[in-house]
Parts: sequence; structure tokens; C-alpha cells
Amino acid sequence: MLATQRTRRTREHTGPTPHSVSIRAKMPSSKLPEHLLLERRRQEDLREEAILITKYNKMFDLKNDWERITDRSIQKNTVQRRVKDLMEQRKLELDERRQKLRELLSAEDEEYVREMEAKHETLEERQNKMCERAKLLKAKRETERQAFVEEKLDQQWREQCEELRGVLSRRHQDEVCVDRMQQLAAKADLERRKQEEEAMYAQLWEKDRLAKAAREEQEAQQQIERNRFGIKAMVDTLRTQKASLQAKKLEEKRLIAEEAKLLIEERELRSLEEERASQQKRLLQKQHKSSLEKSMKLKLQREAKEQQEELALDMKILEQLLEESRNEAHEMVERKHRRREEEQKYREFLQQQLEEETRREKELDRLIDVDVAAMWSKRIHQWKLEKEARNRLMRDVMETRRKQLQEKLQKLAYEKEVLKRDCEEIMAAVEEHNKLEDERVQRTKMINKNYESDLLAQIDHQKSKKDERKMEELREYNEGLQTEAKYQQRLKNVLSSATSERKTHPMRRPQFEVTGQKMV
Amino acid sequence: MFPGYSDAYIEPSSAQDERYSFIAEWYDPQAALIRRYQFLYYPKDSSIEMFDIKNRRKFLSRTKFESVRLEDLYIGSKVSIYSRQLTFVDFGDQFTESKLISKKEKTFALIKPDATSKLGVILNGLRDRNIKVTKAQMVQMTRTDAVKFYDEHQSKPYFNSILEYITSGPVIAMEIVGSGVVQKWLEMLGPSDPSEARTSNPKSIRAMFGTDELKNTAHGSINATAAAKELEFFFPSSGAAFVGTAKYENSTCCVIKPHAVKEGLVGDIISVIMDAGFDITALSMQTVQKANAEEFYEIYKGVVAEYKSMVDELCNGSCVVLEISGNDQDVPSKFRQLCGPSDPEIGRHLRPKTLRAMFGKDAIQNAVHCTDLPEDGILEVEYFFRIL
Repeated sequence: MLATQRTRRTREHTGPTPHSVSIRAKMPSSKLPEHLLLERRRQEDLREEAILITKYNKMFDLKNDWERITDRSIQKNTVQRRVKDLMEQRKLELDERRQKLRELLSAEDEEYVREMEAKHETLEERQNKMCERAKLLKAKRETERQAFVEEKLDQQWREQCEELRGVLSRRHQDEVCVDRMQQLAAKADLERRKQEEEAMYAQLWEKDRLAKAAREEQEAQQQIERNRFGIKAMVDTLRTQKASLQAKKLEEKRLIAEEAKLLIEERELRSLEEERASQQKRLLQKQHKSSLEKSMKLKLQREAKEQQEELALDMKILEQLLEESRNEAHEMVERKHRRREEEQKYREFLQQQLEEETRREKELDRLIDVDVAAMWSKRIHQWKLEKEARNRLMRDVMETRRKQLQEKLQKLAYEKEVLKRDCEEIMAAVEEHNKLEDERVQRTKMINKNYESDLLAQIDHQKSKKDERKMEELREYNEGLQTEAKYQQRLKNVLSSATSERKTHPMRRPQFEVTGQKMV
Repeated sequence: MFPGYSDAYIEPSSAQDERYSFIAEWYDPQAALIRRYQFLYYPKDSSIEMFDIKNRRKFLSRTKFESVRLEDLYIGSKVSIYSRQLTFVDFGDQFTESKLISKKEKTFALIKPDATSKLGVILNGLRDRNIKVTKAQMVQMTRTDAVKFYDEHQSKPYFNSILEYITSGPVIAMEIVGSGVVQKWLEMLGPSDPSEARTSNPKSIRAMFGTDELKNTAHGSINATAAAKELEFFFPSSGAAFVGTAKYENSTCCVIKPHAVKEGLVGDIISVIMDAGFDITALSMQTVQKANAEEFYEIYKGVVAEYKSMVDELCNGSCVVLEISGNDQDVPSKFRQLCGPSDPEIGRHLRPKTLRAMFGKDAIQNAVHCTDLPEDGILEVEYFFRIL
């Protein structure tokens, strides 16, 4: 690198000559000579200050943290403490409640136990009660027994007390007497009624007898009448039979006449039919003839036409042939001959046809005849059947009629027999009734007599008894004047009560009822 | 040991055995997720078998399990098996579906305000006709609800009177299940006019309790689609829509236990309660989770020896929760007297007229739970009707 090309430093200045260089003087430094020191000092100051600040901050951070943590822990602890307190309190409460519950339950249990025991005690009490009850029952039974004994003693006294019994018996006797009076009255009544009844029965019997006689008479008359009536009825039936027979005969006659009429009609019909058949036949023949004629005419016409055509053709051909050869004339003659033969044939055929026709007609006639004959035979057969049926019906009717008559007669005879048997039965019944009636009267008479004697004996007995008792009473009166008053008192009591509760003798009731009843 | 182990001999399952298959779900609280199982039920010896679908292996080999019955198995039912509460969500196969779908027909029943006092009789009628109640809720309808429910009657002249009548008191909405239940329920109701019902069908509900065509005791869906619609209205799948009718005042809680519900004693129990002069101001049919049951019974923990079995019994199916109220303060103690001793055996000796004596079986299955401590009544009512 060349020197010239070098970039000049700021302090160097090249002169106009080579190698002339001047250097510009250096300016003294603006900075203080100890500026580094100062700088360093300043930096150190700053650092110290920063350290101080961070230290300060750190310290306060620490303080803050501490405060925060402490606060939090304090709060937490407080909360925990409170919770714990609450829990404890709750636990205490719970314990308290549990205690209460425990007490309650145990108290209850005790009470239950006590109650159970009390219940057991009641068993003894119950035993005591039962004992008491047994005693009570015993006492009750004793009193009842006492009362019963009392009553029995009383009864004994009553039965043994002659006076009382006397009074009672007197009363009884009075009653008996009254009853006897009633009985007697009733008996008289009964007697009277019986007599009345007998009279009534006699009357009734008489009436019955009369009625019976009248009835018998009537029956006899009726019998006669019935007999008469039976004959009359028979005559009637015979008459009716006769009339029916006559009617039957008339009917038969009528039937015969009808038959004759029918036969005439039939004949007429047949003739009519024959006529009609012949007419029809004629008509048919005419038709057939006309048709045949028509066909023949047509045929002839056609044939004539054909012949003409043929002739024309032949003529044409002949003319042609004449021109060709004359020998053909012979042929013509031959042809003519042939035609004649043909005609002959045709005529024969026609004849045949006619014959056929006549034959067919004959056949037709014959067939019609056969038909008519069959028809007639059928109808006659039918008439015969009808007639037979009628005759059979007639016979049946006659038979049944005869049977009916026979039955009626039988029935009549049976009725007669029954009537007779009834009559006999009634007679027997009347006889038996009479016999029974007599027996019954006899029996009642016997019973009444017995009863009368019984009553008389009773009366005698009572009378004798009464006399005896009177005698005794007199004797006792003398003896027991002292006890009389007491006895009288008691008697009075007893009697006043006895009258109401006195029982009637069971035998007494039906007697009264008998007297009160009406004989049936 | 495996939970399903038992010494009893179980016949090995064979293809000939009749079996019902369901898809069951169980919420695993440890893993906090829902597990699905195939659940098999053999009616021959009432044994069950479970199969884990996700892990493809047997979960429970065939075991006799007497407390599960075929009637309890339907879609939506809950059964607890060895402390696991299973919910049936679907049929497992065609056979089960075809066998059980007709039996599990649903319909909607609404008991109107004038007939809520006849609830016991109506429930007994349902039980006699072999109809199950699967959901029930006492509801106070507002006017807007009623308008929505009776939408199709809006143009009718009696619309306003219907609204007034239906909002006049609490109503009881029920989902009832059984074969041909739509028709059966309508037959049970009888003709809509009670006077006509009295002549044509005197044993029907409307004939017995209805007053006129408006106050005709109860409502039933006309057909299956209407039933589905009305059920969706009252028991929406998205959660509760109606506010309960509980008063939380002068009241006590009564829980009819699952065993009594299964035996169909609800109607009788309710009748007895009402006859004793108590008012039922809230009613709800609920299925209690085990955790909730434990919480509910916490007061009994350590007090009664049967605490665990009580909890198990409470979550062994659906139960009916009632709020019993009266006019005075001592309703809880009075109602407790009606319930009687907790052991029905003692009850039968000492208080034969009490609920537990009449309907209970033993100390655990004692028909009803009632609030024991008088001051806990409202607490328990609140637990069921507000917290759950």
C-alpha cells in the first residue's frame, strides 16, 4: 500500500513538499485526571444503594410474608379452634343428649320391668279375688238352700194343716158341686141335643130313603127312556146309513154319466184331431209338391239353358270342326244319342223320387196313427186308475163308518153295565152306613150310662166324706180352741194367697170343654 | 375373608337356572366413584351373584341372600348387600326385561286435599291389589304449580275452582308400580263423578270418599304417557322441585322402617296414627344412605346395643318419613306413647295397643322409629325434610 493512498490520520497534515509532514498539536484532555476513580466511586455508591434497597425490600418482604402467614395461621387456628369448640360442644351436647336418652330409656325399661312385675303380682291378687268370689258363691248357695228349706217346711205345714186343707177341700167341694150342676145341665143339654140329633138323623134318613126311592124310580124311567132312546138312535143311524148309501149310489150314477160324457167328448176330440191331422198331412203334401215342382221347373230351366249353351258351344265347335273336317258329323249323331240316354236317365230318377215321396207320406201316416193310439191307451189307463181309486175310497169310507157304529154300540153297552154296578155299590154303602150308625148309637148310650153311674157313686162318696169331716171338725174344735187364733191367722194369709195360685185339676178342664162343645 | 363366603352348599350355577340380570351401581366412598356391577338373582334358591363389569371379574360368587326378594328388584330400587347400597339402573338382559317390564308399569297417583286423611285406607287398597308405592311426597301446591299441572283444563269453566280446591291443602303425590297398574288404579278410583260411582261401583275410592265431581278424592293418569309426564312434573329427575309441607313446630318425626314398608303395613300404621288424633303434616318416601343413617342415629351410638343393626335396617330399602304434629307442646312424648316400647315383645305384654306391638317383629324391625327425646323432634324432622 502506498503512502499516498493511506488515509490520513486526523492530526497529520502533509505539506507541499515530500516528506513534509506536520502534526497538529494535541488538545489537553477534558476529563479530569482522576475521572476513573470518580467513576468507580460513583458506581460503587450506586451498587451500595441498590444493595441497601434490595436488603430493605427483602426485609419487608419477609416481614410481609411473615405477617401474612401468621395471619393466615392465626385465622386457621382460630377457625380450627372454633370448629373444634363447636364440635366439642356438639359432642358434649350429643353426649348430653345421649345421657338423657340413656336415662330415659333406662327409666322406661325400669318402668316396664316394674310393670311386668306388677302384672305378676296381680296374679296373686287374682287368686285372692277368686277365693273371695268362691266364698261369695258359697254364701249365696247357702242362702238359697236356706230359702228352699223354708219353703219346703212351709209346704209341709200346709200339707199337714187339717184346717187349711179343710177349707181348701170345702172350696174344692163347692167347686165340684158347681161343676156337677154344670155337668148335669150339660148332660141334660147333651141328651136333648142327642135326641134332637137322632130325630134329625131319622128325618134325614127318611128323606134320604124317599129321595132314594124317587131316584130309583127316576133311574128306572131313565133306563127305559135310555133304552128307547138307544133304539131310536139305532134307527136314526140306520136311516142315516141308508141315506148315505143312497147318496153313494147317486154318486156312482153321476160318475157313470160323467164317464159317458167324457167318452163322448173324447170321441169328438179324437175325430177333431184326426181331421186336423189329415188337414195337416194334406197341407204338408201340397207344400212338398209345390216345392218339388218348383225345383223341377228350375232344374228344367237350368237344363234347357245348359243345353242351349252347350248347343251354342257345340255349334261353335262344330262350325270350327266343319271347317277342319267333315267326319265330325258322325260324332254329333253319337252325342245326340248320348243326350237322349241321359234324358232317359233323368226321367227315371224323377220317377224314383216320386215313389220315394209317396213312400214317405205313407210312413208319416203310419207314425201319426201309432201316436194317436198310444195317447188313447194312456188316457184310458188313467181313467181306469181314477175310477179304481174312487171305488177304493168309497169302500174305505163304508168300512170306517161300520166300525164307528160298532164302537158306539159297544160303548153304550159298557155304560149300561157301569150304571148298574154303581147302583149296587150305593145300595151296599147305604146298608153299611145304617149298620155303623146303629152301632154308634148303641155305644154312646153305653158310655153315657157308665158315666152316670160313676157320677152317682162319686156323689155318694163325697157326701159320706163330708159327713165324716164335719164330725171330726166338731171334735177338733173342742180340742184346739187355743191354737185356733194362730191357725186362723196363718190360714187367712195362706188362703188369701192360695186362692190365686190354686191350680185346677187337669181332669176338670176337658169336662167343661165337653159340655161346651157341640156334637159333630 | 371374601364377603360372600358362606358354609351353605350352593349348587353351581348352570345355564338351566332361571336368573334375572340387572346392572347395579354402588357409590364407593373410599374411591369416591361409582362402580357398576352385573347383578344376577336366582329365584330358585334366592341366591345372588355379582360381576364387576369394569375389571371383568367376579365380585361376589353365588351366595344365598334371603333378604332380597324378586319384588324388590326393579329399575330404581335400592338394595343393600353386605353394607353396600346398590341401585339398579338397568336390566342386564332381554329375558329380565321382557319378564319384568310388564310388572313394573308405573303410574302417577295424586291424593287430593280432602282425602289426605283417608291415606291409610287408600294405601291398604293398593296393597290388596298388589300395587307397590315407590315414591311418595306430601306437597303443598302453589297456584302456579296447579296451573302448570292442570294445563289442559285451562279453557274449562271450572278451572278456577279446581285450582282453589287443589291448593286448599297439602296433596300427596305417589308413584305406584305393578302390572297393569294404570288400569288398576283407574278402576280403583271409579268413575270421576262420585255420585255415579256410588251407583255403578260402590266399592271404589271416589264412591266411598268423594263428595262431588270437583272434590273427587284422588287423581290418576289416563295412560302411560300421561303418567310419565305427570311423574316428571312431581318427581323431576333433576332433583326436588316442591317445597315440603313440614312445619317444624310442635312436631315429632316418625320413620316407618323399610321392613314395614316392604310388608305393606304403611296403610295400617298411618290409619292408626290418624285414628289416635295426630296430624301428618309432612310425608316423604326416602331411601337413606348408610352415612346419613349413621348420622341420623348418632344419638343412639353407644347408648343402645343394637345401633349397628338399626343403621343397617334403616338403609335396607325405602322408608316413609312422617312429620307428626299436634296442637300442644308434648306431641313427641304423646306420639312416643302411641309407638310403645321399642321391643315389640314387651309391647305385646304391656301395651298391646301400641304401633310397635301391633306391627313390629323384633327390637330392630319394630315397624316405626319415633323421636325419643322430646326436644329432638324438630331436629329429626329438619334432618329429613330440610337437610336431606
